[in-house]
Amino acid sequence: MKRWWKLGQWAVRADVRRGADYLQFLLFTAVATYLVYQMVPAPSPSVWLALLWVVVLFSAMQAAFRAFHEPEALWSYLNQLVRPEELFWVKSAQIAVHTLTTAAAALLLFALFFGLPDSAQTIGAAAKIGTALGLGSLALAATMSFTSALASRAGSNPTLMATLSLPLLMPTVLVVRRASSLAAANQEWSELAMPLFGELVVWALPLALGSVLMPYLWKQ
Amino acid sequence: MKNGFSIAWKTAAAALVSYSLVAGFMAPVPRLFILNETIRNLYFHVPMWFTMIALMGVSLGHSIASLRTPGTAALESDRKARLSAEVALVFAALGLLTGMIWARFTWGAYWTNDPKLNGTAVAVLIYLAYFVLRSSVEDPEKRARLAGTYNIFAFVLMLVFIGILPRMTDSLHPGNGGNPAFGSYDLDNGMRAVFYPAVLGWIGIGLWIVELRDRLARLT
Repeated sequence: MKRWWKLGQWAVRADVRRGADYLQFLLFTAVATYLVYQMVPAPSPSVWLALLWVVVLFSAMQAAFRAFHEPEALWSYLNQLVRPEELFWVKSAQIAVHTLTTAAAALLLFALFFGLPDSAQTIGAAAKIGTALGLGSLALAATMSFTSALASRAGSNPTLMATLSLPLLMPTVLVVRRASSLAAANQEWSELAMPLFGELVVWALPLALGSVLMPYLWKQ
Repeated sequence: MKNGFSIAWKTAAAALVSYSLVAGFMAPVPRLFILNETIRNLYFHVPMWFTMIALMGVSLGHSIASLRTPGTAALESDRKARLSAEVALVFAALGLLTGMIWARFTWGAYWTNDPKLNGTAVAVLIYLAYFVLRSSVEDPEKRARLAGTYNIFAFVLMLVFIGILPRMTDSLHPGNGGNPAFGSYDLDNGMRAVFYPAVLGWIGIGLWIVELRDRLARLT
């Protein structure tokens, strides 16, 4: 328990130390949203959702890449303290928080600039969109945690991270798009149950795989 | 004994493929609306995908072996994993090509936004990313470890993508979205007598190519 507490503290301190990076992700989200607004001021609901996910995906990918971008000496120190899978879980949690923050900021900015889709003007509908977006963001973060760890081991190359991540994120993107489309159309919770379960599956699967593979990946 | 078995399965693979090529063009097929003679593509297109999946499975097996064994044995397994993935990609390209030709005559377009088609395209992208990862790491042992972990991670996600997701959504592809698959096309089993030998034969040919390439790689 104490070890977990230490790791968590270290992750939070690392985030605080790099506060400017955090602001940078949010600024990127804001600029991207404004750019999209200039190009497509009145998108249809499906385009609205597609643009939202594109902004979330690319903002989150930057955050995920930085999460494993630490000096080699620090990794050597951490490797003596914790097992690789524990490191993966903490880093996954950190990336999940970043992605959720980015997604929340993007949803807020989209609501501000474009407004919510006509079918989703009620609090209940907004809650459904929020749930689909939140679970979808966690699912994206889980896959990106592993590819970010892989890219950091292969020389911390952001292009490589994108090359490895994008094909693997396609299934997740399709699942989350379906769930969020139904949420934006204000479908009943019973209709949303299966797509939301699908989001949970594409969240849990990369986490489970990452936990099993991390010791091999992280071996010095 | 080992040499005799090797000759036997290679001869059998060549014979089965030859038989399926001749029977695939000459044997009678059910007369079905829209499909007409294009139904023969089943003997050529589907075996390509079966072979691709089989070879990717072989590649996965070698990747697992490379992570579990130390030293030069790991490098040997890694080489076999790479070669299997390379040959699998060739079969994927052939599968896409034969599928596109069939789609042009039955759906009216070479490519449609279909989950099954997108799934296979992404599967190809995932394995192209595998080769990008390999080329970005210089140290052979590190490359074997990183490529091995990615291969396992990617294979599982790819199976989810091409096997499960298309069944959850509407698809034009036979066998998905309520469309008839192979079992419904031919009730007198005439097509099965050509299809199954074709699958077995092409998988054998794929394994044979991998073996030849491995022998060549060991020489150079």
